[in-house]
Parts: sequence; structure tokens; C-alpha cells
Amino acid sequence: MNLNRFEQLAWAFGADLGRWPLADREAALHLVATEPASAEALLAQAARLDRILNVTAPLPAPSRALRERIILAAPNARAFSLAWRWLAGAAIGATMAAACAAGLATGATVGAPALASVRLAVNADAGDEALRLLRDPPDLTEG
Amino acid sequence: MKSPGAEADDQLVLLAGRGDQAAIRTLVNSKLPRLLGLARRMLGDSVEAEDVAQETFIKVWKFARHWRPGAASFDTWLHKVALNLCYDRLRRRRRMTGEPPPDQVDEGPGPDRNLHAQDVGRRVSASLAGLPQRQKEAIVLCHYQELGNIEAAQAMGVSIEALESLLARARRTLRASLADLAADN
Repeated sequence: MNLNRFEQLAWAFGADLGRWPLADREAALHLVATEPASAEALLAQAARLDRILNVTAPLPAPSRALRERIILAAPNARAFSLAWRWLAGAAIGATMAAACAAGLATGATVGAPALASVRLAVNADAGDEALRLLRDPPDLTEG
Repeated sequence: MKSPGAEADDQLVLLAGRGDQAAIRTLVNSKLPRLLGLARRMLGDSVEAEDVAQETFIKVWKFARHWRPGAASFDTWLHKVALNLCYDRLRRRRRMTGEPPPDQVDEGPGPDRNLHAQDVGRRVSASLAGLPQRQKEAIVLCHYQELGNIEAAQAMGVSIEALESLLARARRTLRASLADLAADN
């Protein structure tokens, strides 16, 4: 680092080397050690402005009311836990619904021929009964 | 790599997102004064500054649960959010008044005026308020908020070189406008 660069940094960041970019600090310290008169004069000039800038009108502390308003707006642990419980419940419900749907689909695929046989058997039974009724109608006059 | 303070912030934010009251209070106590200071210096109005601080925290609470500790620190993110809210208000103000942003620095008092510390403070505040907006931001973030150059540049969305240039111009302007005070120091 040369004196010109040192001056630019002092102009930008002030006299406190702790506020200078990390990458430049070591070289700056080296320059202060090797050219103390020039470097310290530049730092003294920057320090005068730093001192003035530090005398700004004092900033009042945040009011209690503001603090409380902000805290009241914060997430609530109970609401968070309820939200999680709701989500967990919803997840379980969704899983169960998915399982039911899967079961129905499986049942529809695997059990379809069996259901068809039952349907045929029922239909066959109904048909036989109709035929029997046509052949041998019951005597409705009997009391 | 993050500093231990930044890592502690990440933890606090995640806990706050889960509604941990101790973490919420710790975050508010540690961040609110600086945040309010930033907004007051940027806006020059204590009521608006309180609104900005509150709105910033509402955004924090909204995003806390989804906070992903990455390259940027929470502090830098917080400053960026607050700055953006300040920009919105400054833009609104400008639209309402139709005035361009103030570019002229305070002329200062006459040479025979005896200034007390409070008066000096007011002069400095007035000179800061008179800086072009980006220069003012650079000074507020680096000098008053004590952000490092990388964090300040990130918060402002500018390069490190641009930040350095803004800072140098701001300090030259301030030194010129406060020259009578600098002579006494």
C-alpha cells in the first residue's frame, strides 16, 4: 500500500483502522510503521471529522410501547404448536385417505372378476326365481 | 465464514420463528435500538422511524421460520429490509411534496456563534440530512451502524468500490460543511 491509497482509505473509512476493510488493515498498519509522520497526519485529519460525526443529536432509546408492540406481533409458541399439530393431523388424514384410495383401487382390480361372478350369480338366482314364478305361480287366493 | 455473533443471530431467528419468547425478546432488545437509529438518521423523523422499525420486525417474524443461514448475515439482511422501507417512505414523501431529494448541505451558523454540544449535534444531523441519499446511507451504515464494508455494500446493493467512493464523497462534503467545527477539534 502506498500513501495515496492510505489517504483514500482514511477519507472513506475514517481514522479507526478497525473500521477499514479487513483486506487492507495489515498493509495499512505496515505503512503506519514505515511512514509514521505522513500516515499519522492523515489519520489525525480523519479523526477530527470522526469526533464531530460522533456528536450527533442523541438518539432516544426505543420506547417500551414500541418494544411491546413488536413483541406482541411476534410468532406465538402455542399458535406454532397448534399449527404443527394441525399439519401433522392433516398429514395423517391425507395418508389414510391415500391408503383407502389405494385399497379401493386394488380391490377394484383384483376383486372385479369375483364381483362379476357374484353379480352373475345374483342375476342367475333372480332369473331362476322369475322363471319358477312364471311356471308355478303362487295361489294368491289362499288365505 | 460467519462470526460467532452472526451464528448466534441465526439461532435466535430460528427460535423466534418457533415462537420462543426468550429468543424474541433477545432479538428485539439487541436489534431494535440500532434499527431505530438507522431509520431516524435516514428519515429524520422519530414517528416514521418507529413505524419502519416495527414494519421491519413484522417482516422478521414472517420470515423467521424460513430463515436459512446462508452467506449473508441476519444483521445485513435486517439493515437491507429497513433501508428498503426507508426508501419507500422517502419516495412517497418526494411524490407528495414534488421536491427533489435534498442535495445541498447545511450552510452552518455564523463564525461568532458559540456552539454547545447539542448545537454541534444538531449541525451534524442537519449536514447528514443534507447529503445525497446514497452518500448518507453509506455514512449511516459504516460510521453509525458500524457495518463492515462488505456488509454495508451488500445492504446497499452496490460494489465495495462504489461504497468506498460514496463514503469518501460524503466525508469530504461533511468536512467542508462542518469545517468551522473541525478547526476546533
